[in-house]
Amino acid sequence: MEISLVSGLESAALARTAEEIDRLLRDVRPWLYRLALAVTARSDLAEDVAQEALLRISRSRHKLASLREPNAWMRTVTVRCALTAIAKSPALCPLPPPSTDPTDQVAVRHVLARLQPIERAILALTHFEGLSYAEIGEVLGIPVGTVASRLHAAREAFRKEWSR
Amino acid sequence: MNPDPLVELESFYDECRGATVPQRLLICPVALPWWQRVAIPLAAISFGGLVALLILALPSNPSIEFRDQAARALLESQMRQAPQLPAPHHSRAGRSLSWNA
Repeated sequence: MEISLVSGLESAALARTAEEIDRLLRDVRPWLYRLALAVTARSDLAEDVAQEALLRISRSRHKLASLREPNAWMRTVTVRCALTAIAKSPALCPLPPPSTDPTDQVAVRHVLARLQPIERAILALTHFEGLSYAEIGEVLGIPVGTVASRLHAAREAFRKEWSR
Repeated sequence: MNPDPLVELESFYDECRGATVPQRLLICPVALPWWQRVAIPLAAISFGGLVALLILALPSNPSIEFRDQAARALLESQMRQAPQLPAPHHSRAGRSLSWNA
């Protein structure tokens, strides 16, 4: 009871105005697109993912009025939209072999395309977003121990696919 | 080639951080207030209805109407040019007499 009262007071103190929410939604668009790009490694898919995430966030804009960390929630929405989109989209096939040119980012994209979606998400949340294991666990809804083991597996898979 | 492929991965994420955001994503309105979400479809439906009424109000076959008008004008001109019939005779008793009588 006490907790709910405290959280209720916090929500009231955090209440954002409609203008603040509009500004927030406008300002986060580039970040959400780039996050989607980091997870999907495909610009066409990233655009659709960012659009879908923004629509979902807009539909729940009442949540943004009281959330303490709206960015964490928007990140979760975007990453989950990206995972759904990767699962639905056909693989880029046939994939050309990775380029030996170290400056060629196409090679990285193709190696990432061979990884499991959850591995791509963990790599992006670690290396692109710089999140801790606990934060990644919250975004993906998995325990911290699983995050650590999946991250290790994802890095190994990336190295293996790269050298193939 | 770098010894660790993860360096390549890091540079890929650096590229993502500087990626150009599509214009469509920046200008597309995703957060409309409730009155705009109602007003915009209503305006679209009204405009569509207006266009439909205008289309229905147009004559279905303008060429037929034009031919009807032309035929009527021709008939009227022929009637004007036709010889005028004399007025019927009236007897002194006030009875109307036919022309053939």
